[in-house]
Amino acid sequence: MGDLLLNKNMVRNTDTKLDPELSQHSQNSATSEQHDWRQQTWYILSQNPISMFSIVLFLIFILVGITGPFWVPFDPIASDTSIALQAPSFLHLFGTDHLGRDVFSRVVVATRLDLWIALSAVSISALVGTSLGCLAGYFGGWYDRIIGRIADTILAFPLFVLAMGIVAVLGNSLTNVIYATALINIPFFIRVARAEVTIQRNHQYVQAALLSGNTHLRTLVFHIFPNCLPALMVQMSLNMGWAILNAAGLSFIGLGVRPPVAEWGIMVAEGANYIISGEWWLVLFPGLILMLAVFCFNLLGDALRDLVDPQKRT
Amino acid sequence: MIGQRILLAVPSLIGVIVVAFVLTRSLPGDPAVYFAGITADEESIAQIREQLGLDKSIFHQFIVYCKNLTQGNLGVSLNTGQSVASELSARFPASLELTLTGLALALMAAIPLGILAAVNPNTWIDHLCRIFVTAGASTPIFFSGLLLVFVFYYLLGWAPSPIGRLDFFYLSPPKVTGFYTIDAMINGDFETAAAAAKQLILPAITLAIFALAPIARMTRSAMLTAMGSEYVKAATANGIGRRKIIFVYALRNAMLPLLTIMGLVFSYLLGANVLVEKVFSWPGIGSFAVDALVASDFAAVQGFILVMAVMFVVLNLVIDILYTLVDPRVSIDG
Amino acid sequence: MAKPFLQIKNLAVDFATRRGVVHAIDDININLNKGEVIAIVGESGSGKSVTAYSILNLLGNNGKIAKGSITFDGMNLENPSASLLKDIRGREIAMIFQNPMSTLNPIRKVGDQLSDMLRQHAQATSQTAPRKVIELLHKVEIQDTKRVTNAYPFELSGGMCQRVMIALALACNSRLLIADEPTTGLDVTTQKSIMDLIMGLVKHRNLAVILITHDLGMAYQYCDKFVVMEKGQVVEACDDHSLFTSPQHSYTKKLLAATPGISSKVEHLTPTVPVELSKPAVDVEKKELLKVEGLVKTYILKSQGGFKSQGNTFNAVDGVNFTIYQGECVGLVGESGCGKSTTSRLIARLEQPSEGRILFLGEDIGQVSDRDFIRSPRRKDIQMVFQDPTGSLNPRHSAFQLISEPILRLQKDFNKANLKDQVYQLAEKVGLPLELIYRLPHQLSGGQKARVGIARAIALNPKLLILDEPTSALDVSVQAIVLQLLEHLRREHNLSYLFVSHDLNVVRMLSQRILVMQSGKIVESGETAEVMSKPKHLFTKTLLAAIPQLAS
Repeated sequence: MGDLLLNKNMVRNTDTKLDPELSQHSQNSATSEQHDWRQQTWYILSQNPISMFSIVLFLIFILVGITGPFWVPFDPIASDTSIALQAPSFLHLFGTDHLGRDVFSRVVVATRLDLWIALSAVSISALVGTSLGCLAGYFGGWYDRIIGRIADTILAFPLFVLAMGIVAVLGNSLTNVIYATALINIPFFIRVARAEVTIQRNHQYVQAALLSGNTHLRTLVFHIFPNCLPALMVQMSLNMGWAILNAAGLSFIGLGVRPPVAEWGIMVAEGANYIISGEWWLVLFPGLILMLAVFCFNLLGDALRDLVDPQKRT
Repeated sequence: MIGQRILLAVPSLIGVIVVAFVLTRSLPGDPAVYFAGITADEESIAQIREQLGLDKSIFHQFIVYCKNLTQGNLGVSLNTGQSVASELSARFPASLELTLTGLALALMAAIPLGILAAVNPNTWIDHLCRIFVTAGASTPIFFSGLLLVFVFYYLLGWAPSPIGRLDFFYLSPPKVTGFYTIDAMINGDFETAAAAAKQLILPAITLAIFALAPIARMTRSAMLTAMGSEYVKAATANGIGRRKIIFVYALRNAMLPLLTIMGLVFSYLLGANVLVEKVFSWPGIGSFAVDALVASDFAAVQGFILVMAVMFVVLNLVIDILYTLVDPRVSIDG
Repeated sequence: MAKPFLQIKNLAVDFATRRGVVHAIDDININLNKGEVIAIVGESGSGKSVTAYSILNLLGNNGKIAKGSITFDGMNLENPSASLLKDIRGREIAMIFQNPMSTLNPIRKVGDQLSDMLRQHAQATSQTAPRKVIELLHKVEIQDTKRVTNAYPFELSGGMCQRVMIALALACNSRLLIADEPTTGLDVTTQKSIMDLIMGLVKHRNLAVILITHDLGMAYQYCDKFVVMEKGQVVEACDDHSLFTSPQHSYTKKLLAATPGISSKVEHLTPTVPVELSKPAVDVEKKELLKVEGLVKTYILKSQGGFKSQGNTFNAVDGVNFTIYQGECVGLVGESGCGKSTTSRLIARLEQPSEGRILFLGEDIGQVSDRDFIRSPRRKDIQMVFQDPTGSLNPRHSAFQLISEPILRLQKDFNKANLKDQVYQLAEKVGLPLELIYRLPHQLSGGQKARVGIARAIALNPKLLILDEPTSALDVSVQAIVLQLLEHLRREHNLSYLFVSHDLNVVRMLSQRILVMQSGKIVESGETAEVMSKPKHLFTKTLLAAIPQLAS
């Protein structure tokens, strides 16, 4: 109720503020707009410390992913059974695993691999899913029916199970984990793109673009698609987190990454046998960092959504 | 009306059957070689291949496979030598009991959280709810499972060891529903029921934590939309009590979008099941599938995928039907 | 003198927004006695709704009363306790909103919603509620009570929903009724019956009424006292109809001039006649530009579940014939859903006609598929101005980009060096200040957005301009300016218009001839003066009678 009223009022107010027909002051538009934008971003962030936190965390992950391998204290794959299963200490911050490898170094080095899997998988699915979704949303008819069927068929499988099957079929390799993760993310992009295009298509600016001599394809690509980007960005961020989870889940059951490569999921899997005997650090640290990364992308998606459309936040 | 919904599910089902077939036929490894054993010679392998129909064209194999499907014949598992149908039906109740318990727990926690957050938007209650459910969704399911085992089994000793549906002291109850807790209670054996419930609780909580986020978030956003709607504003202006507005006017409308995402949540849970069953050694169809995948046991994988997908299609059908019951507008809008 | 029944004194309301605190209204004073009907008149953003909402404390979480007092029958409402609010809302003060379709709970039966209201305020028990609900529906002149009580809002028409809302508002014999644009969004003919119903009921019960409206004609017809608001302030208050004959404030004068009446002329919509329109218009020569013959557009109705079923079709446009001569403006009038917008999209070749011919300068352009028409040399000759000035502008393109789009796509001898000059000239033509030309749509006012839309439409000197409700989303004062601009452009460049609108009063001022459309068919056509003074068809007569008029 409050939101609705506020929204109405904001619209009214910006209207009168910028209308020289009604009020006299006409400002320099470019600077005031930039100022406006910054002010609004700042307002949203300061209202929402969680969003701020997620952005900082995201930057840290990127930084660690890029520089990590250069400054880790130990070689992540060199084993030394004489120091196996040592609890966390000053020397080994996160302890050592059953082969005496430094858990901290392994966790840090794994960042790059995990982010890379997620990023490439999400990029592929965003590209394919968005294109298909746009076509289905704009042209409707058979496009919509066929593309909709494809999405429905993929979604008719429990997605993690489908990814398992695909990796098993294509062969147990990292690349195939990426393809499988990409495939199961496609329906989400189809759905979001289709929904957004369907909304945008009903705006009159689309008819105006056609009247101005744009072909249908041109209208879709240059007029409608840019207006769908914000929603797609949000979706990408959320799916990044999900892709990381999925890839880690696959390596947990022994698909994709193979030992001795350092990867969060496989590290948790290796530590799983030791949890019942109390060697908790093998599972806790990689698991915690994995969770933190996914958490970060999920919050980032929320923060983006906040910026793009405050009304739609869920 | 309902008949048409069922018709609409048919293409999905056909798609699932085709995909399951193609997927499993392209699994690496030759089942005939596997069946014949290590010592078999060329001839006996060829014989077995003929027996299995593998020497025929892919198209022919598909026809045979479809024919078998209509008779409920899912083939024979290479791993266990049992028929896949009987294997799956023996393990299916275990998975279903776990998934449904997890879903029920998630609903019971998530809906109140979502309402709480929506009624106090942008307060610390809202932020706390948001962090809590997002953290749940961000936790890898195998990690949260292991963590729960560590805390409640190793540290506190409250939970039994994570080895399946029932401690080996107890005999499994006579099968009625296939759900151990319910079957034991039907049998009047409350001790076994309690033991089964104890085994069930940790994996179910693990699943619930994972499913919390989508449900709570959808509840919150749907409630916010409903609370911001014209009809809630009008009801407020007309002096309808706050409780009635929240629970009768807003919540019932908010249930509609929630219903639509339940299908997806269930899909998440079925996928998560595989991991949970592995962590807790739960003898469900998920762990069965993982073993089958590793061994290229194509009949078993196929059967598993089909059962999962059919269940999912049926579930979506149920959701659609529920939707038409809750929302009077659907029958017109289509 | 006794204290008035409702007294609003020095009221100010603030909203906390993303852009800081916004003072929505300031220093509002309103007095209202029993049995009086007061109109709060103003354009969008004037704060008229906020004023009304603050009485019932419906300002939401972010709004608060910063100053002033509201006294209702001796009770202070500026800072009410929860229990006082519970007693007041719906019981002492009731409210009717705009958009009746969305103010009723979409998934609760109408009868249940009425009995919720009755039982909340202890007007009925579960035994007596059904009987009382039927009584209430009878009071708002609903005969078909059995069907309506068991219906969901979506099964009722907009007018019917508003009747139900009125029944809700009057359920508890409240003593003050606030009606917030109660007929906006309804068709004119429904508008009149709803307003007559409300007024009949309140007069009968001696209620005090606040009517919030943007429509001066409606205020004139139904109210005793008037308050004019602009930008959160009361600019003029008047206790009798002298507001309309001798307005004091310049804003009131502007509003009055801009409100189209039965005899007003487009040049008199602003207090001073613009120079461009000071000369009389020249007569139209009878040279055929567009001829529409037997135009039909058939839609296939989808049955439940999305399957196409045979024979279930609906003719949105059903055999329409008319002609537009060069330099002429033809008005196309009808209520929502009559097919007028479909007709305009067919002629603009955004949709494919099912049957009939569209002859443009003798050439049947209906034959070309809508996909190929983009490449037709005729594309630039038929352009359109849209209803929603916001929605019809791509939110990511600046005014400059928007205006230059058709030039880039459709102008044959396009020259990059000239583009800037060309766009500037167009902006000047439509009166868009050049310093605004690099702004994005959301940084422009409604009127400026309308100007951009018009500039884009006339960029390539089209021969026919289709105006699809070009002013229905605008405030009257902006509407006045846009209408004058359109008239000026037509006279200057000898343009031809097809002016599509629901508002006879607006169409009348610009058009030489008028077509009246009902259920896909043209039921009356003729010279504007003739149709207005001697309507033949019953529908035209109802339409004319329903428009609220200012004193002539």
